[in-house]
Amino acid sequence: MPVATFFIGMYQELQRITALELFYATIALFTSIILGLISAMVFIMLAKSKQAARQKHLQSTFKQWLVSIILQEPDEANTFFSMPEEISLALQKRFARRALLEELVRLKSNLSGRAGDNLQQLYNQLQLHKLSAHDMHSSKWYLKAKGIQELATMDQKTYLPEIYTLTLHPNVQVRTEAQTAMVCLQGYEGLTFFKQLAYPLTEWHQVQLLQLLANQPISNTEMIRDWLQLPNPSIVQFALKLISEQHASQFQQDVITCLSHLEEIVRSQAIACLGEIPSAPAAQALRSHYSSESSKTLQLNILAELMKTGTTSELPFLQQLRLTPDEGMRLAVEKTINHLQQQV
Amino acid sequence: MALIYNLFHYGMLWYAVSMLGCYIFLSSLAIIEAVRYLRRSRLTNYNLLASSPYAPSVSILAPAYNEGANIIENVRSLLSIYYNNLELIVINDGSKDDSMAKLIEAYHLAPAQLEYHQQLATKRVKAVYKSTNPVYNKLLVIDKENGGKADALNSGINLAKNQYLVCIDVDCILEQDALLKLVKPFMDETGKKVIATGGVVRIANSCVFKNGKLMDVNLPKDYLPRAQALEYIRAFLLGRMAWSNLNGLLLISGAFGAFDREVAIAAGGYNHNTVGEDMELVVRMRRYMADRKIPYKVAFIPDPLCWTEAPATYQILGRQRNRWMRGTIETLNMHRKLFMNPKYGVLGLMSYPYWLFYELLAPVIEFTGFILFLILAFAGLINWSFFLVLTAFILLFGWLFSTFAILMEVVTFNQYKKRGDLGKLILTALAEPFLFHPFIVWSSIKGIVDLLRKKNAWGEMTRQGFNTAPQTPKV
Repeated sequence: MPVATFFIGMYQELQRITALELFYATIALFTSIILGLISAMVFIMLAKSKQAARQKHLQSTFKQWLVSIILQEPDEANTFFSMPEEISLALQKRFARRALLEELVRLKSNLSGRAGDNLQQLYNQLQLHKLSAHDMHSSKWYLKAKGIQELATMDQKTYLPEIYTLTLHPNVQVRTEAQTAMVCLQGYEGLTFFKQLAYPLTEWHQVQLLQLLANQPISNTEMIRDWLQLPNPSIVQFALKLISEQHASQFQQDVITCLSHLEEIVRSQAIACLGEIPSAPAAQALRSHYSSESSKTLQLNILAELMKTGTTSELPFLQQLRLTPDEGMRLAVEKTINHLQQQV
Repeated sequence: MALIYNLFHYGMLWYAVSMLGCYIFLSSLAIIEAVRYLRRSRLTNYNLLASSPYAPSVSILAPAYNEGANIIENVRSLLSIYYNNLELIVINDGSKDDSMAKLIEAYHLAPAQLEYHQQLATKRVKAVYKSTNPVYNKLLVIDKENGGKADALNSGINLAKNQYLVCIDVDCILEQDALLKLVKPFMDETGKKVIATGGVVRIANSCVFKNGKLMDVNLPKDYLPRAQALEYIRAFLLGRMAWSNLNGLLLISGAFGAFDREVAIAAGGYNHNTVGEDMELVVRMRRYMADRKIPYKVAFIPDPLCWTEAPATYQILGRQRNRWMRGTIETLNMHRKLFMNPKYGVLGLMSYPYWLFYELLAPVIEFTGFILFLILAFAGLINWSFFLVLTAFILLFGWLFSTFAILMEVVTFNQYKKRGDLGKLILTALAEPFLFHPFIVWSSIKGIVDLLRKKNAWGEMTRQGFNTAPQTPKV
């Protein structure tokens, strides 16, 4: 009851306030908020410039030292990296440790070989992985994702089991960083989470994974065949892209099978993939699939692939298509015929 | 009489309160979206896409009309964009100057037999040119009869082969990674089809450029461009970010936006019968998707990607705002079926009503209010103390909104960080209701009058040209 009395009292008080008084109060409120916002703006500007100056100072402090570490010879590399006192003192502060961590990660992602190994060794020596792991254990998704990214860049294989559990995380950023980290640390073997993955892989993430695997030839053909059978169409699409990228013609028959997949993205990728592993059976499969393909876009894709990889043996098939009523298709057919005839 | 007065009185009050409520709601959504974007963006390596064979293919469409003075530099700037899977289609829309001759000479163009599929009706295309110099192999030039911007863009779409279209004003300067950032949203969605993306357009006046690249960001020195810089911060960082959060964007700036080519063609391309072709296309593409019940999204990214010169005189600014108002009315009229139509979800129930009430009707209501104020003042019917308090309330809310937008800019991208810039922006905001805003309202009213009188000219836009950094002397 006292609550009800309070509200009734408030209501009676409010009724006594005139419209003009209400406006005065609002004006005072708006003015205070504006002044507050301006103060916040000035404060943020000052804080940002102070932080930038601090960052710049730290970067210049670290610069020579990091250059000397990067340039260490192999025989010296197993030794403990010595640290100037100025840096040692600076690193007692969390901000400086964070700044160094970011600098190391930035440099490591651009350097490989001995220079990269030295940076990684310094990261281990300073136990900066604890900072990255701390972030990975955070409940905030952006810190979690950042921590995973740092651990992967610094090749911290000891964290693999933890990272693996995050590959199926409901947050898309955390999940993709964990998946990328798995491939970064283990190559193809890191993709074992595919079997449990129900979430789709975005096109962007597929490009990330493909880039990481670009210099690693497919060693386990059965694994790729398994992926082509998975119910998640984005994984099938990814596997087809991988086959294209590596021109892995041993999967030709599997790719042809994918032409009859229910999902359009898979069929589209299979068509593109057959263009990357051209052969007479591939061209035959594309020709056979053309008439059963329901999507006009994919039909155009087939014509584009035939133009790219076809031979004169495609001409009779293409001549038949000249009669199609669709102008766009007819134009594409003519273009393909012209191209193939010119090749002759 | 009393009833009419009360209806008017309370109607205006309701309108003002609902508008303020909308602004507060949209600002909150904008903060959420901007923070989410910035956190995601910090984790992203955009360079990944620059050289990947799996980067989506993009056709840049740049219509040009009488741009002879700067066309060579502008095309060079577009050719230097950091993206591999790209073609640049410049459309000479029947220029009366020497644009075409300059292009032919500078880029070694020769007529080419290319696949030009007339999927969208356009004025006659005289020829399609391709460079004989392999350095410019990404460049294609269409020479056509004059038909306006929409017509030029449609002829570009007819020639384009790539998956996504990026429509750009030829005189805009892009950030080096602009395309990488603009294309990413198309690759980030799995459940919905992204049909269009847009990025923040910033004011280039007083900024320094060298070889088509932005060298130094400056707050415009003149008042008018500076007021527009503030207006753009408000519109892009608050308005569009908020609508992006709701998936309710109706407008992707004609100066720089990307579209799914297939959907753009299926929806019918740019409409020749409106001067607001950029907004109209987005609305039509959205309707196309909604009618077919295909889940879709129009994305927006808050990164400053494109720099454009803002009108620096009242005359040119007036023409621009007149045209924008006509474009808005035409688009909303063409798509009036959307109004409060639950079938179109956010588009019909939120975006369309917002644009109708707070973008289209706002200048009408403001203008009517001002006229009424004059009449009542002359008749001695004004309660001056109440009037002053109400005016202070409205002015303060406007300043509050602008200050909040500046704060958002400081917290997020902080482009204007030179000494005194912040103060100048705040002073610009303070002067805006007296110097800038009344003129915008007046130009919009003129736009409505012009539309009623069936004047549908584009309105000539004269540019002053960008500041260029002094060239380093050759040794």
